[in-house]
Amino acid sequence: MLKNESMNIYGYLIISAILLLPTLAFPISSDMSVFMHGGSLIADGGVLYKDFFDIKPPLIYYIFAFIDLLFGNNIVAFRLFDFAYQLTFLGLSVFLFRKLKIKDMIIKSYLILFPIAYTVLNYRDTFQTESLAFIPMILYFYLLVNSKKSAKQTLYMGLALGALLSLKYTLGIVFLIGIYSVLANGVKKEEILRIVYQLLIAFFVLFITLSPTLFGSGFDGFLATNSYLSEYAKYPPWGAELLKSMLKKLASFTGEIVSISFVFFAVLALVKSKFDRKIIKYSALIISLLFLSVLIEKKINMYHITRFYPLLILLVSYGFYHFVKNFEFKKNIVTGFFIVVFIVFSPFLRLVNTYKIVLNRVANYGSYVDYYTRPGSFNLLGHHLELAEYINKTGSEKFLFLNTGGNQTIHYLDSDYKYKFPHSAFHLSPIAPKLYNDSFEEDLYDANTLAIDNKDSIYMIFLREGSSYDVMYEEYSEYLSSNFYQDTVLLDRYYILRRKQ
Amino acid sequence: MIQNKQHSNWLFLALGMVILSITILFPVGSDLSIFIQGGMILHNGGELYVDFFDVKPPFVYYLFELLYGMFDKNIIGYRVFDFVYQSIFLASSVYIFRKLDIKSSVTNLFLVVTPLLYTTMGYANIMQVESMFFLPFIWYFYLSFKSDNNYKSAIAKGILLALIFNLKYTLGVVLIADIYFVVSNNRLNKRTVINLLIQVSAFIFLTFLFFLPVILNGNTEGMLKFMDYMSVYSNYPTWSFGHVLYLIESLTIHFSDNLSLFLFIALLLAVFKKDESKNSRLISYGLLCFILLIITIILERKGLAYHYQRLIPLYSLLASFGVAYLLIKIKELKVVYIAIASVFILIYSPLPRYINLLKVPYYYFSDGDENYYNSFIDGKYGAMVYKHKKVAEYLNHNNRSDKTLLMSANGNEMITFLDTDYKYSMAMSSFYLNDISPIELQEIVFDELEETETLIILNNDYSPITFFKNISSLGAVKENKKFQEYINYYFELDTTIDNTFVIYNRRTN
Repeated sequence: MLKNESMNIYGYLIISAILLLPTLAFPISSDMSVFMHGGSLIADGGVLYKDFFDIKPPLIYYIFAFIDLLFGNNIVAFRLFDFAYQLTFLGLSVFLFRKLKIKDMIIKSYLILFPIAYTVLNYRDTFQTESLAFIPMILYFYLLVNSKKSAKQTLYMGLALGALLSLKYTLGIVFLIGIYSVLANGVKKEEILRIVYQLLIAFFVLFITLSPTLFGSGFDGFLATNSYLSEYAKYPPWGAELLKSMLKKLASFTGEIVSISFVFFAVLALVKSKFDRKIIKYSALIISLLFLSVLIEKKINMYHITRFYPLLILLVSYGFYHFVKNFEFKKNIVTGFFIVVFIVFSPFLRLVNTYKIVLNRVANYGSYVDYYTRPGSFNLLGHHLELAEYINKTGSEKFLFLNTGGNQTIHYLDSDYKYKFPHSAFHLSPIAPKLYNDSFEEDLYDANTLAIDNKDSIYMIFLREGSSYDVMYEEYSEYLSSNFYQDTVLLDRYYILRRKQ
Repeated sequence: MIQNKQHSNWLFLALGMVILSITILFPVGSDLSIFIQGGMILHNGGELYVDFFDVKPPFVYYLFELLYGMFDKNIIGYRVFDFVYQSIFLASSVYIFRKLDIKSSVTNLFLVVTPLLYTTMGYANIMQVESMFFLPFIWYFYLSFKSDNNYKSAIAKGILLALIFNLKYTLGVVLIADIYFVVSNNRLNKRTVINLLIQVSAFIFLTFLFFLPVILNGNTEGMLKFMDYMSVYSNYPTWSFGHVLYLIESLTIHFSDNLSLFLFIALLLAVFKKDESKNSRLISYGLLCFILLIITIILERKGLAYHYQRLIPLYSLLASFGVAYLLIKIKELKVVYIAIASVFILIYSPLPRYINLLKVPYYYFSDGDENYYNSFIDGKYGAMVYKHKKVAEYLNHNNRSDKTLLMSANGNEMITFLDTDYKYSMAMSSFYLNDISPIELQEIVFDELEETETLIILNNDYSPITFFKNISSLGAVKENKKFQEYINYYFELDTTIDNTFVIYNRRTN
């Protein structure tokens, strides 16, 4: 009987898979493009922070290098990896939730609500470092709630924490819950030791992921990147304007994308659910800490918020279960009201729209490209395709793309020449270290074709006014004039320059 | 003990008034400037639908005629009026909620939540017809819920309904809630039908009185023609899948941001657990009215911020039930959890917006005009009030006469800063400059143009809702051959202020 029930729950993973299916049709996002760029260089023998520069910790690039080694520079394969990863995460969650004796109905709800919440994030906010953190996050949560006091437990918690730190330093904030529970339960020597061991293991994992850099030729670049990062992190400065913009974004992301219905269910779980209080309490605490980490990072995007999805959706599932169990469905205004609220203010309509994207991807590619092309935003799939098509037609050897905000173009090129900076702002910024300038110039002196964006002015990244085009002609005007000629201007923003023979 | 609780209501009313008091320092908003324009013209002897044209029911402009007689162009006077009006609404609510046996803590929360929501709507979105709806509505809601089956109550409801309807026609939807409530409670009998007829008769009679000045002045035909033309506006934007998505997005944005996510969640919680409350029936009835008012927003199609204001009385009341429940739950928690909950509540409540508004009194009393006016940003248009003020100062400084015509589709704030009274008839340039405007309206403005000495045209007032395409007043003038040729021939460019206001003078030779 129990085995049947177990089969039944794992069977729900098929529904999860169907709900996650649209993610396979998503195009490359700007961040994913950067990860693929870095991963591809490493897979080809390149060195991080020497042949490729970005501000994330190394682990994400090694993961992308691994996928690149398996499948090559294939967009669908990368999405397929994410699809499989999320299904694995859900499978693991079922296993762990059953061990925590969470009601089957709640687990089943989770298996439906989580993939819905993930899929409606669309292409830009899926397959981020936050998405890859789901597995270590749910493991860490399980071990925290399970709270067995064994060496094995400490080891696993340390490993999970190390994975989180290696993906994004700020995710390590969940460690504070361990400290809180030590303080809340009375300070005991062995508990403190366990916490220290856990931290040491976590740092060891982080050290392992950093070691190719620390002991390789990328060390100077790593130091330069950290010095750049410390300056970069100062912007935008704390103040009323930043707080206003953060609150606005939080309200918008929470209400529109997480959705009002899901927040309602989460609140319902917190205030009404009578069982599994420990699970609910720890979920709420972890969410709060991760929420704090989002605020600390200052630059709020929707994908930053997804870091607490594994636990938020668990609360949503508890609330949903409570609602279904306790609400009297009748033919009256209240029932009608809730039905409308749950349709209009939930991810349901977005999900329907996401399936439409899949349909267009298969049957109407033009409409699909149009959907992902909105000049004035970061959605520029059509631009990248057109630019890549032109470069492929006219010769793509030693192509250097100078833009900020997404270099998807390079993944549609016939040749696989890769340059060092996925965002031109890194080396064009006034705070760029000398090593960045030197590294960029190596690329510049080697390139045969340049595409320079004149509409990518993003002060938050450049930390100066002007587009890549403006700054390049401010800094390298003489070199460009004497060594390159203008071939054409595509889409009124990409200046194509060819090396003079 | 009970007396203590009642005392606390008055204390919270005082707190609510303190919260509201910040609105006294708000400058003129775009819609308020149009109401004042109407009031000014009527006060100076003009007639509705001859000397002034706008979309709202006549009652609104008669009210502003009265207010203009009292306050002239002194915006603080209007803002004080609004403050007093909203305070009376809050005091009425205290009285009504006691009569309805609502818990004192819920009433106290209402007295804080309502002014917070109202104030944080911002200077351009308050003192709208939707704001004036609050007071008659709360009484109508009370009488309707109380269901006194007598003729006095029916007459009172009829009068209130007429006030509501004549502020905005669609708000008359509350009558449906009243009828539904009677029917759903199985109280439909001869007496209730008669009382309903009395209510409707009183409503029709008073509405007739509000239209009487127009009829007596012989302007009925003009009114009907203008109304007929205005009905085109209500058909725009046209229904489509895209527009439905826009409305859903608008609803989501307003419930998660402007009206605060925390309060909407509290509202949902109150409805979910209403059966645990002694005010269960009241919550159901409140929900019914709330839904009907949301439907009116959807039917009006525009989904702008001030349209949502009509929801505030019931939104606040229902949310207050939920917040009261949440506070009880939070009190049971450990300090750490109380702190965490408080942070989330703070972030997703209207409080940060209100704190941001505290700069208004600071700038007003300490910093002079520039910072004060620059703190009122009108979305993508920037600090429009300040720009209007600068243009008015330029005109005043150059002793321009009252023959100054403003062509703007987004508000006429400038006229409240001018030394002379504004006398031209159209509330919005799009009335006569869009592609479907009746020739009669164009001729009225053309006649006005012929006597104008100074002409001001906005070049950034893009208003697809009223122009039916993305064009500014200046762009629309350039497309209108008759206007364009006349202006080219008889006017010369004087200056452009703030890259927005293009000022022309009549040529002297």
